[in-house]
Parts: sequence; structure tokens; C-alpha cells
Amino acid sequence: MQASREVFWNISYHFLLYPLAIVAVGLFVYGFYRRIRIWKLGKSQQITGSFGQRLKLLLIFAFGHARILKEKYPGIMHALIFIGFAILFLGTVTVSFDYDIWHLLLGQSSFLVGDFYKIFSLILDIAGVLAVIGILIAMFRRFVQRPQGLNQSADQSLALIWILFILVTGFMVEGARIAATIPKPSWEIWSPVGMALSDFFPTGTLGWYQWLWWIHMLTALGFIAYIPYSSRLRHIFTSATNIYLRSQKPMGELSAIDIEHAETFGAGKINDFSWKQLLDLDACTSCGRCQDQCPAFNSDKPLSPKKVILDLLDNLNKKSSQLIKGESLEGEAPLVGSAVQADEIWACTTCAACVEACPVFIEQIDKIVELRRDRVLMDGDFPNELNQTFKGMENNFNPWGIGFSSRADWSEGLNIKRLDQGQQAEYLWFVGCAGSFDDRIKKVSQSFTRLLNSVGLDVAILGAEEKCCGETARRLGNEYLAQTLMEMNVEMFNELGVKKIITFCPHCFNTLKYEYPQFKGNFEVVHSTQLLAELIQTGKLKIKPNNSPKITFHDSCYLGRYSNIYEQPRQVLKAISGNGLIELKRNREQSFCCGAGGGRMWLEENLGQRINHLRTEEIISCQVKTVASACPYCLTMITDGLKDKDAIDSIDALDIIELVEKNLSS
Amino acid sequence: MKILVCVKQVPDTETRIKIGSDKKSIDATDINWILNPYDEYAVEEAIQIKEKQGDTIVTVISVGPERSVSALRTAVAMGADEAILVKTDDDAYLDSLAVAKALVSVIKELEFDLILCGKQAVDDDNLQVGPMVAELLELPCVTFIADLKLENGKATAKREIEGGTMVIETSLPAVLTAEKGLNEPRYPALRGIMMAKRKPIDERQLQYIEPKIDVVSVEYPPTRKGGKIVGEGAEAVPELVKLLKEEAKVI
Repeated sequence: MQASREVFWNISYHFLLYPLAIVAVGLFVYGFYRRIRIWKLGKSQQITGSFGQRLKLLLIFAFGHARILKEKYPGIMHALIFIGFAILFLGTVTVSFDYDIWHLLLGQSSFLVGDFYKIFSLILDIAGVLAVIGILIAMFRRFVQRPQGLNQSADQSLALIWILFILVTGFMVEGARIAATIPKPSWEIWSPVGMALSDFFPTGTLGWYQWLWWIHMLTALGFIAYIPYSSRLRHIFTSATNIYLRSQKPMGELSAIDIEHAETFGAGKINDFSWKQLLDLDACTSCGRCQDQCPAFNSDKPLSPKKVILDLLDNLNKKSSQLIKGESLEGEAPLVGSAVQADEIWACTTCAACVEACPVFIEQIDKIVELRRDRVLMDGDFPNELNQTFKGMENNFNPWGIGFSSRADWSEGLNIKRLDQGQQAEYLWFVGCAGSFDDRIKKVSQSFTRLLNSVGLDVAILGAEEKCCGETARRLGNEYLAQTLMEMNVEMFNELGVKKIITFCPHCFNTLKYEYPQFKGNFEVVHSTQLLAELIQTGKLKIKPNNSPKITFHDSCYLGRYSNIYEQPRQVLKAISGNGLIELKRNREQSFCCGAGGGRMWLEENLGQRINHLRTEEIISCQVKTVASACPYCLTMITDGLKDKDAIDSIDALDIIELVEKNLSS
Repeated sequence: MKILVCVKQVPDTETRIKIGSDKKSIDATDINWILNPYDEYAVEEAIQIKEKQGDTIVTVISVGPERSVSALRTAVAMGADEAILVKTDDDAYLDSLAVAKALVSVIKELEFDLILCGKQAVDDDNLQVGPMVAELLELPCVTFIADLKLENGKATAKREIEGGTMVIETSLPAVLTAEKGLNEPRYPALRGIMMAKRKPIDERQLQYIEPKIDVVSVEYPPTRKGGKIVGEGAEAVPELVKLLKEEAKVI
């Protein structure tokens, strides 16, 4: 006799399975229809990118688990469940196709026979075992280890128990069926789990088998119907959709508000978000990876990016029925102060560690910025100290509020061309506010001027005509001020025929490069570390040989995660220090913020620990002589940290520019 | 209640002032003009009164050249309801009395329950306009107020004076001038800015008023001399003490 399995073997009323399946699928479809209707409460948003690009994302990041596996333990756990379930699903589809379509509809004889059946059985058994292992690990993690990042809820627990129940009953059906068959077919050895379990069931009787069969089928169909209604199980589809629809724009490009035409600014109500932003909320699996990486959370501040996303989702779910009925939310309290608290949104440094960590590409920062925009633009409601910062940028075009006419005072006595005085050059060096007004960073500007002169690069500054790039205002939610500054700069750059821009500030770099195109400002933007790496490589800058002084490098968020510039600063530092370059514990994509981004430079840090202290302790533990940075904000924060930790005499905090100048061979 | 706030547009406090070619005035090019910081306190106070008691109209008025419109718009963006500009020629010099008279000519027509001013404009630092307006209108005047309460048609104001605080009660209408600390002026929200853009400004031409004083000249303060390093460590102390006594004459 050929190896095979008779479908619906000895199951009376098995035809009932078809209407039940239709009901289950119907509930499934209806459930997702309701979710889609909720997402569509958001504002319109264009999705760019081709189908091919998006399919690739789906293959790499959903099926391929590329980001999920970045954390090994939960990653492998998830992969086991995913692979197991995917194979079991395909197996079920194959059986159904073979029986319902191939056999019943087309009148062909079953292809699930013989050796093919044996291998098929084995693969499905293995898949089931993998899924069971994955679920048991997940249960151990959730119920025993209970990591801080995981939310504990009945829905979350039920999902695991339900899946385990389906898997276990599936194996039991197989075992009971084998036990009921007399004699036990020899090929059943290809269903090793079922074969092993068959010893526990009475031989030759159908009772156990029939009961288990119905229980397995009904819980499986119930599971399908339950998926869209469970915030946990829904992620199977919402997260995959979110990966497929991943934003194609640069990480550092915030969307522009059409100030003249918009009726409201930012997100005061949940339906002020775009549909894609609402989908983002629904895609959250509450895995907690964002929270684990968040510098605000790790310094005991009230912000957790995960909590913000889930609180907004909660608000969306609460308000959705009202909105679907067409009722307006006018007159209701703004999101900040009700769904999310002000201390949370103002604690964000926009370091993007959360965005980088999210396995399903939720963009936490753009939500936080939308909430800040609402507060700043609609009600002028923000921490007091920003009043001076905004006024400074408004009246003197720098957050310090120092007189704009003194912007180029740092360059007195140095040889640098000035576009504002009618001179011309190939490159505009956009000095930035820190390089122009902060006493420590002015030294970096002076050092950079000498370096540029030494290689004879044709470069000029804008002098008193340079205005703040707008980065800080934008991240603080003051889109109006940001746009005013950006437009003034773009207009002037275009008037002066600027094509190429150099800057040593990663914040200016990000905004000039990724955000100025929104305002007709298309320039080639180069960061100082890119320029220095090239000048060293081409031999235009010669570094003197030395005996590997111990140096460490602090990755700036806006240079690293935002702009993917990890190698050039390291190339420069290796030229200086060779093997003396020691990596910090958290480096590159995992780099830990200095605490100054997102406008935090201008806010008091009076909740929890100081972020720069946490980073400085990491630097001190490396036992280096020098810490290099490539960002004025980072340099300021690290210098302050070293002072506070009494380490300023033993560790030099320098910009890479200054290190290069110190190590030039004359 | 009707509140009037008198405001002035002044150069940003961080401006590097250049003296004009006539050596009597400042060069107006390359200056960022802002709402006088003390006037901001006055505007904020008026808006807070309006928010507290409702049914209040806050009017801002300025005497100055066309560019002063932006200072008025700032006040409207903060929450003022109406704005009046008494327009002067760009280079006209008005002394404090002329400004006060110009203001009074409008105030007389409109009648207000409360008139607020900044205690001084940070450009010419005369501190005169508020009291002069009060004098011309024969109204009580309380200067340098750091706290204000309105009750039963009376105003109770606190004044910070040397070494203490003085509490003054006055009947209304009255002219009060705002000192720093009266409140924390708000940063106008974009919503307010957009509304302010659309709000018409009542512009009137100034009837020429002859100034009674004349600025003879303006000069820069003397530039600070560079420091001197006497030496290092304990050996340098006698020399330092000697120089502090004989050259700097501070001990």
C-alpha cells in the first residue's frame, strides 16, 4: 500500500468545516476591513517607491528577518515561530489544494502520496516542532524572564497559549490517528512526532482522534478569525504591511507643513496624523527594542518611544468609532496632556536609536515632532527656556541670541574668503551657529580654517549673512521659524550661485542635505569628516607617524544613523592613531546620544540622570587619552560630562578637525 | 474693559549699533527691529487680564515709522485685538513729549479703562512717555509695576523699589508702566501669527509736533583696554597689589 493520508478520515459531518471556514475567513476579512477604515481616518500621504523595491523590503525584513535577528535571542525565537508557522500554513494550503481542487474539483488522483507524502509529513512535523520550541521560548521569556521592554497583557498571553494549543492538538490528532489505524502503517515513521505520541493513545479506537480533530480544527479556525481583533496577532499583517510601506525618504527629512494653506499645524488630535502614521501605530508589536535603546528612557526620563506609540494607538482605538461616525474631535483636549504627556515629548533627543532599532520600521520621531508642532504652533505651549532660544533664532538667526553682526568675529585675523563681501569660491563653508558663537566650537572653526588654507581648498564663508540652518527650530516643532530660516538661506545661496557646501556640523549637514531640497535648495553637501578622509587618502593632508595614542570616537547621531557616515571619521582617526583607536561599547548604529539633539541642547535636563554623564562614563571606562567627535553639540556635551566627572584633565575632548591639525606632519 | 498698550519698535538688544553720518542718530541699516522688551510685559499683562476676566478689548498703539507695523503685529499675534499705528516719517526725530502728545491725540478719541506701557524703551532709555501720557490725560500714573491686580474698578500694583516693595492702589483709568518680572511674555503661536497677518492695522498720519529738545550728539562708550598679566603664582602678588593700588586705584 502506498503512503498517504485520507483527508477527513473517519470524521462525520466533516463538510461542516467548509461553512465554518467561510465564517472564520469572513470574520478575518471584516476585522482587517475595520482596521483599514481606522487607518484611513488619517490625513492623506503619498507613498513613493516601486513595487519591486517594496517587495524587496518585504523579503529582506519580514520574511528574511534582517532586523528582527539583530537581537539574537528574541530574533531566533521569532524566526522559529515564523518559519514553523509559515511551513505549516503552506502545508495546510497544499493539503487543501490537493484534496479540494486537484481531487474533488478536477477529478485527479491525489499527489500527496508515496515518497512525496513521506517527505511532506516529515517537513510539517519538523516545522511544528520548531514552532513549539519558539513558542516555549517566548513563554519562558514572557512569563519567567519578563524583560522590562515587554508589555504584559491578557491579549499577549492568550496569543501564545492559543498558538501552542493549536500546535499541540495538531500533533495529538496525528498521534491519535496513527494509534487508531490498525495495523500502524510503517510509513508513519515519517511523522516522527505523531508516531511517538501514538503510544499514548488507545489503539484501534476512534474516540480520541475524532474529538481532538474537531478541537484542533475549531481552535485553528477561531485563531484565524481572532487575528485582526487581537492587538498581538494583528501584527502578523500590520507589521508586514508597514515593512512593505517603509518610508523611502532619508531618515533625517521631516515633512514640511504647508503653512499658508494648513488649517491646523502638527498633531493635536489623533486624526491629524497621516494614514501611514496611523498604520505605524498599529504595526507596533510592543517588542520594546526602541525603549531599550532610548537615551531618555535609559536616563530615567518619562519618555519611552514604545509607550508614546502605544498610547497614541490606544487613543486611536478609543476615538475611532466617533471619527468613523463623522463626528469631529474639535473641542477635545490636545493629545499632549491627554494621551501623551509634555515631559515625554520634550525629552526626545531625536537620536533615532529607536527608529534604527524598530524591526518593523515605525518612525517614532516624526510622531513626536508632530506633537511638538501642535504645542508650539497652535498654542505656543513649550518649556519656558525655549522662549529665548526661539527669539534668538528669530532676531539674530542663532539660538544663542548673540548679535547676528558678530557671526564671523571668530575669523578675525584668519585668512578666509567672504561671500558676503563679494568674494567667490568653489565651496561655501557653512560654519553653523555653534562654530560661530560658541567659544569652544569657534576654536574648531579656526582650526578648520587653517587646515583648509593648508590644502588650498577654494572655500568661502558667508560671514554675517549666514543664518541658522533651521535644524533646531524644526526639531523643536517650530516649523514656521524653521521654514523662515531655511528659505532665507536657500534664497541667498541661490542668489550667490552656491553649488557645493562644506559643514562640520552634522545637524547643519542633515538639514542642508536632506531638507533644503524641500525649499528649492539643491546643493552638494559635504561633511568635514568626508573631506578630511579624502584629503588624507589623496595625500593632500599628511599625518605624522606616531605610536598609536589611545583614542576613542563618539558617533554623532546625525552623522551616523542619519547620514550613514561611519567609516570616514574612522579612516581619519586610524591615520592618526593606527591601532590606538578603541571603539566605545555602543558604537556606529548603536551609538548612544550625547543628549543635545532634537533641540535638547537648549532645554534644561532636570529629570532623571544626565544623558551626557552616561555617555561620558562609557568614554572614561575606555581609558583613552582623547575622545574625538565630529559634531559641535557632541563635543560640548562630552566636554561638560568630562568636567562634571572630574576627567577633563586626563581626557582631551577634541573635534576630529583639531586632532588632524595637531597631527599634521610639517 | 478696554485696555490700551503703548508700544515701541526698537533695535534688537544684541544689535551692534552704528552711529549715523549725522553723529546724532543711529544708522538704521542692518538692524533687526523688535517689540521693546518692556512693552512685551505690558502686552502680556493686558492679554492675561483679558483671559482672566473676559469681555475685554486689548488695543496696541505705536508712534513710529512704517516698519513699526511688525512690532504691532507681534503684539496682535500674542493676543491683542486691535492695532493702531501713528505713522511718522522714517527719519523724523520725536522727543518723548511729542510721542506722548501723538498718543494722547488718539487716546482722547477712544477712551480706555487702563493704559499700560513698558517702563522704558531700550533704545533711548528716556522713561518718559508713560508718565507724560498720564500727565497729559490727567490720569494717575504708577511706574515700574512688578505685579498687578484689578478689583472693583481699582488697580493694586506692586513696585520694586530700592531695598523693598511698595504697594500702590489707584483708581481707574490709570497709566501703569511695566517692569521686568511682571510676567513671562508668551511666544506667539503660529495660529496667532497667521491671524495677525490678516488683521488690518489702523494707520494714521502723525500731525507734526515740534520737538522741544534736540539731540546734540551720540558717541560710543570708551573701548575697554586689554588686561595685563602681572606674573604667575605667589611671587606676583606684591606687584599685583601695587598696581591695584597705584594704577587701578581700586584698593
